[in-house]
Amino acid sequence: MGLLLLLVLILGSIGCLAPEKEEGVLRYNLGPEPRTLDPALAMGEPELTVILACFEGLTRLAPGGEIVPGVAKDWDISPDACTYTFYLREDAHWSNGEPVQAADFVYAWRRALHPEIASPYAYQLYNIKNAEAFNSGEITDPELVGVRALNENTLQVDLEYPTGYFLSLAAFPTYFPVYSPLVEEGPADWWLDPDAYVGNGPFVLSSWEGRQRLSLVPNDKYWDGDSVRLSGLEFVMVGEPATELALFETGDIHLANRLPAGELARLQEEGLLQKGGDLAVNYYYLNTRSGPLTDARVRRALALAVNRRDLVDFVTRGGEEIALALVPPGVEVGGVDFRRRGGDYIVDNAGDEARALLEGAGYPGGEGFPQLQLLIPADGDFAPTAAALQEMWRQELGIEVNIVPQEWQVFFSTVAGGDFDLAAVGWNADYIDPNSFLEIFLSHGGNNFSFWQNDEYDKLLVAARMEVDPVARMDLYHQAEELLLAEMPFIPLYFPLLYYLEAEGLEDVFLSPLGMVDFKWAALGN
Amino acid sequence: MLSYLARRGAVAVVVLWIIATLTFFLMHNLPGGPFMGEKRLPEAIERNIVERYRLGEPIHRQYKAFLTNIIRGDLGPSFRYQGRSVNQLLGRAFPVSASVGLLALSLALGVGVPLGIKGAIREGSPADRLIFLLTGLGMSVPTFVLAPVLLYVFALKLRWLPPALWGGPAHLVLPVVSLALFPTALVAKLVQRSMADVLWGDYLHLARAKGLPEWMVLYRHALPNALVPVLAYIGPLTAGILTGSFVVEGIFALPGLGEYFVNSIYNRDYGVIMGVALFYSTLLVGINLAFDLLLAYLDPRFALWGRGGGG
Repeated sequence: MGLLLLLVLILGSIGCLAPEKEEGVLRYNLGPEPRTLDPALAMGEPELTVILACFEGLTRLAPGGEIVPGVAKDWDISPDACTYTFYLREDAHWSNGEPVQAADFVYAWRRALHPEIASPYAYQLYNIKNAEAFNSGEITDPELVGVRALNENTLQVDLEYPTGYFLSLAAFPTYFPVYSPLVEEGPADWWLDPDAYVGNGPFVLSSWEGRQRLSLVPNDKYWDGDSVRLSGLEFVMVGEPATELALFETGDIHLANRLPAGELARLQEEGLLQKGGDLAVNYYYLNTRSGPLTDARVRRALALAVNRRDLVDFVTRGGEEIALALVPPGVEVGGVDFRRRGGDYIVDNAGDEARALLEGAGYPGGEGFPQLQLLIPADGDFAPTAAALQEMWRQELGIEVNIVPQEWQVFFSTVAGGDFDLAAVGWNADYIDPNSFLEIFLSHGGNNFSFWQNDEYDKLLVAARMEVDPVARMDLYHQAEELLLAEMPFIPLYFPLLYYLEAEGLEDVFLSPLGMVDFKWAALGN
Repeated sequence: MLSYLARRGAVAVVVLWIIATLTFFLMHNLPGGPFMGEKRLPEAIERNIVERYRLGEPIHRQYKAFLTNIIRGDLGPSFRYQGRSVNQLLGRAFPVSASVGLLALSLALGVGVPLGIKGAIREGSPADRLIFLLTGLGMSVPTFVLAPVLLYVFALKLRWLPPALWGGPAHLVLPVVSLALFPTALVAKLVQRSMADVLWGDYLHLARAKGLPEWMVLYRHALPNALVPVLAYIGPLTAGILTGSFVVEGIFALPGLGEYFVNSIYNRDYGVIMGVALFYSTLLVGINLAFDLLLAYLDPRFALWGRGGGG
């Protein structure tokens, strides 16, 4: 009997929690629970998405990849492109009504760079003068960091070198201002407390119930409040992609962008699947220190023998563009797409050329070639591609490949230790510039797991970094990319896309190619 | 009885200490850390993180600090969910898992026990055949198949129930049924077996000869004896079902404990890994102890065995 009573009690208490579906409130699945809502400490998509709704930087990335004014209404760039002066709009306010001032940015950037804060994304600020030195503890005076408030509404930023993409960087959450009285005097974990939380973005945090729900309402102090058409945002946290899809199909959420890979083909056939550009590339590292892979001819042979067209048509089946270079399409410089301008550097499915290269390297028909170890992360969708490539190399080159799946962090430490021949990864841009991809292969780059070293390549990237003229800069990057593809310390496979489903009537949600979702302009019709 | 209790209590503490220690060292032996994203961070930033979260302290010192905190009942901070302590995370998630678990357990017992009794009375009866079907299903259809099938049929096709999330009572139906199928089948089977064993015992003949009604013979005289082997199974089942199922909670997106069991390891969220390991083992050890005492009460031979041997 007692048990029955308990059941009644439980059911009764849960009954009160039933979510109400309000008009004009967009419901979206964040995936995992946000780790934090502090812009300086955010590192994953769930928290970046919420922060993008609650804060705004000097600039904002708009649909189509355009940089539009945010808190800054205008800016000047010095002739050497190393000094940016931002003019802040007078009507920019925090959600508590206080004005957003230049000093707020100075405070936030110094804070994000402070070693004690230990911001994982602090490197996004490294282009600012002395930022890296301050973050690494080389210098301890925050005044030396190249950002200062000339007056209440003017912010001046000195850079280490001309950074052609600085305006897009300024739209990234690590660059967002924070309300210093809250951070200094508020509760230690202010980002957990909707009552204390102060932002300057289109929305403001209204409630956060652990992994159940996180709700935002429009910020009536936001300078561009007229552009905000939703009456609220409600985020749920569902890890399982199949469940997210079910929630979308029953109308419980309006937007689904973590779709199960196995369902893409069906959703595409049914005409429901929407695609967007993602600044990402999937490739295999080739360990240039390992056995026959020290020979560039062998590396090229492996890359040329891959039939990418078949791979995307029959294995991944998401309509991806095949990668015959490193940098994906979607990086525009002066109205020209970097990828289209550079074109392809290798030929897809070039079996004959691959066999000739392998023969030249002393392995005719794959004779005497040792078995290669291909390391893949066990979680994620790396296995089908790996199996397809294993078969292609066996048939085209007579090379045997052993696939070794490892849990993600174990995979990462094995790769960093160099104990592999090939390793499967996907790379997403941190900012919109070819450099975000090309810098992977710098001789001493922390993520250069091919261990390939090339002085000429390094010099080209440094020269590009210093170049003020955008066209000349693109030329340098193209030269670097050409060199990279000739030496082939990696095998480019394909450029993944963003896949999502939108409820009928949903418009103007911006799925940023950097991974987060911007709801500022979103609206729910009918 | 008191010395039996004291001895069992002491053993439980030692068991928990061994579990805590093993988990602690195994977990710190895993490569990676709680702040690893998809890219390797610049060295200076890694250094700052190690410094701030004290990840670089010698392992024996971390172990000592950890034990001291545990004794005070403090499981420490979560490394992933900043500003939230492990106590808070578990405190929020456990009621969810426990509600679903209690309902599933009640369903399993409420259906399984009467069904088992009915099935024991006559071989080949409808109840007997239902048990056969249920055990067949329960044993051969794993939860990760059952749950999506239920979701597909009742939420997507028939639209009778919500597909997932934590909300009204309707949200509980599918997870509870998914979670309950296997235990229901097992409980029914166990009750049927042990009921069949005691059903024709002399003392029941005596009870019937006294002219007691059949229901009283079954429930008052036969059932307590038949329940002994069932109780031995219900102990661990209760601990397991109350702490949530990773599969069921994942599929139905319930904010329970289940998620932490697996994801804390992927995330290398050291505090949460230790927290769930200790929470689960304490619950398991505690419930087992409680059920052993209950068994000893129902059948004093159990306590006697405990006194004689390892216990």
